[in-house]
Amino acid sequence: MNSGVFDILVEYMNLVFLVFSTVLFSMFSIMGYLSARSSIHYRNKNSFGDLSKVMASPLAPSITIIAPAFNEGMTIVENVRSLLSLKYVNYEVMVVNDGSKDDTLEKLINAFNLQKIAYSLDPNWKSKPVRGIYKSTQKSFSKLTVIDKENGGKSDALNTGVHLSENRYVGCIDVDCLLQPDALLHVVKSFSQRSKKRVIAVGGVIRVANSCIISGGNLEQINIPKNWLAKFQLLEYTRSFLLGRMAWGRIDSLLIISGAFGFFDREIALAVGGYDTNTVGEDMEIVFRMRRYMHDENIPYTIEYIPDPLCWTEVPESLKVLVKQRDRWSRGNLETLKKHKDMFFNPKYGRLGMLSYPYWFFYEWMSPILEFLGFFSIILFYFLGILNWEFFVAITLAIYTFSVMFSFYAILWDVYSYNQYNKTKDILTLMFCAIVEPFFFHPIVVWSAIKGNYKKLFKIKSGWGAMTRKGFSKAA
Amino acid sequence: MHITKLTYSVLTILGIPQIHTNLLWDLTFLFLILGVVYFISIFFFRNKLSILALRRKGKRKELAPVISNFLFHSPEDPREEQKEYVELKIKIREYLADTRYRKIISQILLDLQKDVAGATRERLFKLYRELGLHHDAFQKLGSWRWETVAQGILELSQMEVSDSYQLIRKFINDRRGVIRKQAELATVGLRKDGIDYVLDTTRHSISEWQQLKLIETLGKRKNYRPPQFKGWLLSQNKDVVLFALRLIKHYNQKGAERSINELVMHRNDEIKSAAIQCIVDFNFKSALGIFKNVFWSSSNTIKVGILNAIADLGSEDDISFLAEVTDRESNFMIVSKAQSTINAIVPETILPSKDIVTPKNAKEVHPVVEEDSAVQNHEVEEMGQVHNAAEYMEVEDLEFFDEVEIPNAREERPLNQETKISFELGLDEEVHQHLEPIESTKEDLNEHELNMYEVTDPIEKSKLIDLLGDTADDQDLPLLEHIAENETDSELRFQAFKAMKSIEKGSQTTVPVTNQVEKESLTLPNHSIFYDLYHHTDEQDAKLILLKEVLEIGDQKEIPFLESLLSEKNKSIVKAAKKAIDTITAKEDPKSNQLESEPKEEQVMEMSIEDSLDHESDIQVDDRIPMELFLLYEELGIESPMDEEDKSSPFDFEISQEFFLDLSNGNTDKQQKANK
Repeated sequence: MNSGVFDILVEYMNLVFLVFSTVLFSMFSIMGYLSARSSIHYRNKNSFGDLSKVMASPLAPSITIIAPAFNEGMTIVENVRSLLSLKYVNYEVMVVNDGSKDDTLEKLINAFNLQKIAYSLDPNWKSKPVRGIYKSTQKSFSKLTVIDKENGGKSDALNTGVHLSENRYVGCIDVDCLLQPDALLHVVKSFSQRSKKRVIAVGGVIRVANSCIISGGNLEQINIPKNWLAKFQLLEYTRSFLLGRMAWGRIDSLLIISGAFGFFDREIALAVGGYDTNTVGEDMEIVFRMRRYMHDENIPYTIEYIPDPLCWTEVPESLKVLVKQRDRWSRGNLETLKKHKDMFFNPKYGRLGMLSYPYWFFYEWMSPILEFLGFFSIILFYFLGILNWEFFVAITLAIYTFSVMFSFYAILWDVYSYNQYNKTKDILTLMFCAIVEPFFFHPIVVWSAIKGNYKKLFKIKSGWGAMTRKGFSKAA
Repeated sequence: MHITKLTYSVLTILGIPQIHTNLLWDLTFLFLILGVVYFISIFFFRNKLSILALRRKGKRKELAPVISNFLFHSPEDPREEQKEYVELKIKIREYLADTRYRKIISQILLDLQKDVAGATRERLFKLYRELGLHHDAFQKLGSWRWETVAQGILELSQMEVSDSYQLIRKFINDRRGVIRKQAELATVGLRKDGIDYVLDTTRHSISEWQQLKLIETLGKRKNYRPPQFKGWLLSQNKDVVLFALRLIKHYNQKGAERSINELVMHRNDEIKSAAIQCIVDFNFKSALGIFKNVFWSSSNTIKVGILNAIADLGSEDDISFLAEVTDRESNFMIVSKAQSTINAIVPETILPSKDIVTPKNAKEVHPVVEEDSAVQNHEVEEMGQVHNAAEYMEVEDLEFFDEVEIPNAREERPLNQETKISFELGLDEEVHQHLEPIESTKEDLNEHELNMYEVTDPIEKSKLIDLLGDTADDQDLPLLEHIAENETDSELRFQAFKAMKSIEKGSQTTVPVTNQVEKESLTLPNHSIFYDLYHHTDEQDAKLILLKEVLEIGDQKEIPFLESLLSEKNKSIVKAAKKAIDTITAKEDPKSNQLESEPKEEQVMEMSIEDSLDHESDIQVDDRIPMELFLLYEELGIESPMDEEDKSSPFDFEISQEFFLDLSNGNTDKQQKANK
């Protein structure tokens, strides 16, 4: 009798895995379809007109790029120069020195002839004290503002920037990201091309810049990363940004805008109180709050997503840094989902409550946990001699072939839409990564997520973790 | 019976569910097939795309010279060329028969029209029509695909096919957004009255981006005389009203004052905001009354817009309204804006109150200042146009105090009139005390160096200054200042300025404190290098070790920090701090013990005053900057011409604050030396 009940339980467990996998296959297939539609639509829609003509218009909307900097002394001057050379007429670069312990501020002051200016700050605005605001005495750097404040973390620095900016739109970026010269034109177009709905935020694709050649703030040559971890991440980013986010953007249910390249309607960002300083997933959390605010206020709105490769960043090449990064992401995910748990299957929030939130809950947060438990269950069942071999092999192969097929589909769309990697060898390398990823890279991601969740559940203190960057390769 | 059914149901649920593993195998097979298909597709598309690009390139290469021959052909060309032209005509007919070539020719012409102008451009449009390529574009208009229709409209408008106007304008209210937008642009681009038609007929919204593009299209028209856009301010379409306002502003049409004023009362905030902006740009003072009426019922964004407008247009009559705003409003941003508006209309009506510290001895100093009229006279001489310290304080120090973050535990309170006066009068003594060292610049000079310099010939002098610029330190600043002030040769004076600048820059690099304010604040306890370390440490043992380190390697800078520790509850820390103070004090030269009286927190204000006075005295020094140096404005950070209203300076250019800071840094250094 006992054995019979146990068998039933085991079979029900198998059923759960089967249902979970089938829903996953269906959702990813729908996402593949939606992203393809969205990509084609975007390409057709943007094949008319010349963006650069609006660039020079004095009527172009104003925008502030906020770049928080903490101990970026090594690269800050070059990065700021790159930001100052973007093709747009009406923008400001605001570097927020978040209490750097190195010579970040001094380097900025010397390189751009900065001078302290008078300012007033809302005493009710909660962020760490501002020590000074600097503007350049040189007209050529008039677009630059540097805020020196006490250390309070990335969110706090961004909040200060959002608060002190006077422009209509604010862009929150990582100071070490490389923006394409026409990035702001695309962003401003996305903000101002709708009139029925208010565009509250614009996000974009993040591309992997490891091993690419950069010169004078411009991308000279696009190369596939030499490091294998970076190669796997490139494939992962392609899948996530070109298929996942594109699809969610298509049905206006995007719940995350990458912290490396996110632009917001300043008024709404301020209305929701800016970034949450108590979470490490601030980029996701602010989008949740802004969406909820617009829902609650009953204002028609949307979030735009740009698939053009406008922002390039370095991804971790060391296992330690990668695990830390993914650990932080999963903690941020859990914190945000927990904070907005009342949205879960809440019809009040429409697609967000009924589709996006549950997806994030089951397939972004729960999926690695289930995978982890599943792995141990298999070992346990094997030793107990109750492993259903036929089912195990069939479902494992189905998931594996689906994952490889989906990665190939992502590569296909990348080739079809942007075709950035010219060498056949690069494409073959990416395909090889897709085949071996489930055995090498994916377990690392799952392990990092488990680590993050463990830390969060058992309240183990953990911060951001440092991201050691090698710096972009310079053109010869 | 019921029991049997229930038992059956339970048993069914508890039974082993059937999982059709075959389904999983089928799925695996399907995914495998799809994977292979995608694998092949990737290379198929890659090859296809590259082959297409190559072919297109080849055809363009083949057709470009033919088109250029056509474009630059003239009936007056030699006979041989005429013959060649006829042959080309036959050849191009053959090309046109092939759809792929037609597309390429169209594309080449479309690309070319961006790069040519004048008669060539006209000829290009003529060629486009002669080759019948516009028929292809017309055909595109009938397509069911929105991108094809939009492409057709774009082609016809870019090639200025005016016959297409009637056809295109029908798309202005098309339900497909991209077609609609393209039609609007084409309608405006093809005919002068196109904009009238668009504004009259469009039922859809016009996005901000589209408005910019329409304005840009209008801007391309030659000898364009815009209609009076005020007529569209009455439109039922909100976006048309907004666009009309933007056009009115763009074309500077001032004849719609009353209509625009009325729009300030519009329900829509966007229209309100645009109208306010227009009013400011056109200086419509008649709107001030409306502003006041609508202010209280407006959103915060509009309120800020109105206050900005009043700052530009308002007069003293509006102060009472603004005062009411500061009293009634609770929002910081609006109150702050109202205050700055008041100050914009009548400068210095509202004085800063945040972080303003009244010196403890302000009242005590008062009589001393009154008695010592010589001090005031001295200051008047120093300040030139400034007649007393109080006036100087009001005018010059406002911004400065905003910059200073004073770690002050005292209760913040706004300055009332009485305290302000006593405080200001108390300044005089400080002014006198701190100005003295500035006057004694020469005393700081090394007499030997000075004599050496005086007897040297100009070439040697130049070399000496260069050498000083490269190798000297702060101690040589007095000599350089002397040269900069007293040298008759302007080139040498300039060299001395440059040398001073480079020395000061050097000292800025070595000390991670970057401006005057921060340098001054070095004397504050939190600028001891141990301050941060101490406050980042939670453990008492670590603190004690740190204090031991202070004792060993610390200097006078640490004394204020150590003194602040004397009030700690922990006895061992107090003891260690005391010991460190004693040791450091004993280590120093007796003369330098004067530094024990270094400014404490409550004295920071006095230091600020001293600093600001340095600024003012430097302005006096700068009066002596020779005019020929102004070409070197870039080097010295001289800024663009100042406001016309500012008649206080004899020059028509403005010296950057950085310049003064640099000089005042020098003076402060001198003062510090004098104090030592």
